[in-house]
Amino acid sequence: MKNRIEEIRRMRGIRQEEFAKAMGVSRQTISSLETGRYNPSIFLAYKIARYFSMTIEEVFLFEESEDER
Amino acid sequence: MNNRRRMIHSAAEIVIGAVLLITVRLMDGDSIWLGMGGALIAVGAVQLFLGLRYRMDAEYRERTDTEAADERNQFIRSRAWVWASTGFVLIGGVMTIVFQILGRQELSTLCGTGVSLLVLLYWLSYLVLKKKY
Repeated sequence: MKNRIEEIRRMRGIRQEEFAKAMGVSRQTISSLETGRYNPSIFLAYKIARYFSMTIEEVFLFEESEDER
Repeated sequence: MNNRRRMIHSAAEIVIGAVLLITVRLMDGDSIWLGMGGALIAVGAVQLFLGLRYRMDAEYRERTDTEAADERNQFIRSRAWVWASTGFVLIGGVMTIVFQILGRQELSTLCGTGVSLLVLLYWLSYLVLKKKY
């Protein structure tokens, strides 16, 4: 699943470490999320969207044809 | 397991290892028990050191807690178990056949039993988890 985490994070001037700390995950997890290597759970997706004060749909771009990890 | 419990557990491992080591030395016993005693002491000491570090070093504590709770880490851990058990079944299956061809009946049975046991455990786990979720 594609997402706009990196774009939004950079736009707001938040460092990966800072963002990871706020989400309670490692910096590597943020990096994996941003590159699309790892899809988050619904809880983490919700937490990320809430952190940016956005909806899940605004941060994560679901494509119908996508296969589950 | 919390850190205090883990440290008690580690200390117990060291004590058991030492008792084992001393007993085997005094009774002139099997070297396998000596090795086991030594290994228990080593594992206990490392865990105790890590437990103490967790207690004293706030940065290490935070990093350890994050790693333990990190969902990607948990995902990777469970995937690694899937890979490891799949590998075990495949290698075990091949070895069962190879040993059978080589006429090593006991080894073939051992490998076959190991694979069967793992498959049985998988099905039991599946049934339990199916009820749970």
